[in-house]
Amino acid sequence: MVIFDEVTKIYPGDVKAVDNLSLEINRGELVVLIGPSGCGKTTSLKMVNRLIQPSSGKIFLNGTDTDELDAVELRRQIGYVIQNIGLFPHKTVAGNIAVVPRLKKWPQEDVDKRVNELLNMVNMDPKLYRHRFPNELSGGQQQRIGVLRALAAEPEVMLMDEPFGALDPITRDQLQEELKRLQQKLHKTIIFVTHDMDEALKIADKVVIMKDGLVLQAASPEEILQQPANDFVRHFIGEDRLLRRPEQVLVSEVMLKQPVKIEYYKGLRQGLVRMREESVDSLLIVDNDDKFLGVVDVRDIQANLDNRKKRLRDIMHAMPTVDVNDNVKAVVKLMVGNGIRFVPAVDHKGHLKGIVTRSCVVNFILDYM
Amino acid sequence: MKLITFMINNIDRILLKSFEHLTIASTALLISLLVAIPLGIILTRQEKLAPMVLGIANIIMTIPSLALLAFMLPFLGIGNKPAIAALSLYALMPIMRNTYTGITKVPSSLIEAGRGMGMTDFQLLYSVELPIALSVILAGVRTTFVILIGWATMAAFIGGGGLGQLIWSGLTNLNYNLILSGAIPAALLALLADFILGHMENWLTPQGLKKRT
Repeated sequence: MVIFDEVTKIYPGDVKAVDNLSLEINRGELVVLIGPSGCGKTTSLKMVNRLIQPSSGKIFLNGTDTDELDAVELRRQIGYVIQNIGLFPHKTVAGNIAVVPRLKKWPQEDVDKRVNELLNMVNMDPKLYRHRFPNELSGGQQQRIGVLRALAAEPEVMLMDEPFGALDPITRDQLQEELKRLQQKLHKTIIFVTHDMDEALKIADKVVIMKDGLVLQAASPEEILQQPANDFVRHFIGEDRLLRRPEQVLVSEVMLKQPVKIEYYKGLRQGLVRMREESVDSLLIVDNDDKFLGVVDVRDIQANLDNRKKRLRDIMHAMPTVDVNDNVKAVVKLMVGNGIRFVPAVDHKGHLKGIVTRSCVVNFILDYM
Repeated sequence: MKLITFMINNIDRILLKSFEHLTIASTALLISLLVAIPLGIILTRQEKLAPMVLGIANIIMTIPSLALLAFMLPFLGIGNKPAIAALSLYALMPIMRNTYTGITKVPSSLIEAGRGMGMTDFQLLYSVELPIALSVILAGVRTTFVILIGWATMAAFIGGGGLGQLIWSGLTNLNYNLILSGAIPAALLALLADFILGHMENWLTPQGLKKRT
């Protein structure tokens, strides 16, 4: 639908705003360009309707090189929503929505019908709103009209340049929902520029993260959250948003790093004291080298307390362990499969490094899911 | 009381001179509108020229009115023609400047919206820029016209007629009634023009641009 083919834009002073951008946007896809200011996202957007002329490279619309089209005709085919809303203050709501249909010389009847249809689509009663002026509307209503104006002449492609950036958070949220709803119905090809990651993740089919004129990653929101391409992307998304599947989280990240452990040669009473000190009912038994040997729980000790000769190693029993580099999913499987409450975590040499308890797993779920 | 009797007795002459006066001022205004508004528009498209052209118009405004009238004599002879020409030159500056400012003050977001939706330069000018700049342009026209009515009294100096003629002959004869018969209608004309144009400005300003009441 829209194809960027090695598009570069160099501004006077040798500033490379967009560097060799190649990007394919499919029909009906809502693609969000996002990045810090100066990353080239707005420049890329405005090159589509030739408000900005690329320095080199081609942009194709439906397979046609946009350079071969008349710029004015091209723009009338493309819906355009700008950041500052940009409603014409001297025109009524109806007059604003009708701008492009009038430029395209639609018959007045069709224009009127279309205006009513569009207003109904966003639940604004045409009788009430048609004849109002922009300064009689709230910010949210104004930008709704801004979006309707772009939709008026039924363009297949829409360009939206930070359309909700100037709105308060609640209104912004509402308009994002409405856009999603409209998009489900209309299936336009939309290129949407924003610097708000929440917005991008919420509405996008595909997110294109840009920095210094380069595309760092172009993928679905899920993919970006799960596999950020590099540290910049990771940082830009924000660690707290990173959605990680259990497969991607290591045992070492969730385990408790100071398990209650005791050497194998210690006596049962020593073990009992240790349990009391630490308020636990199980002890992990290690050798002198901190290698994991087994586990002893309070009932084992109580059952053998009369036998003074017994050391902890004599009553301990073995239990499955996980490697610190295993992932959390493996641990959960192990715990559920064996009906155990905790799993010792060891390194590749068998040294005890930590313990994964049920509460660790629950915390992980709360943090990342 | 003597003044009122004098004015009533000379009502024909006062009305004639008022009409001449208004003709001079409004002809000058019309000429200057025809030149200054397009010039002001051109300046918004040729930003580099703007300081120079506005500068020249500024200089014209600083020439003493009597001197400017005298300059016109060799070219246009005596009568109301040189007066109209000189007054048009004076009016250029404020109208051109207001047109220029009015259009350049149109928010760039509106220009971008219009252009992005596929308006041609001309469509952008007449359906966005001019309607929004209209109130600023009209405000310029209004003050200019009031000033022109005042300055039109100078026309009498070079045989241009108008209410100035009554004032000048009154001055030479030390006839205060005659002086006031020129001065009072001139002032009234100015007030009336201000009033009418003020209403026109309000009427022509698009509703959406008026402050909400």
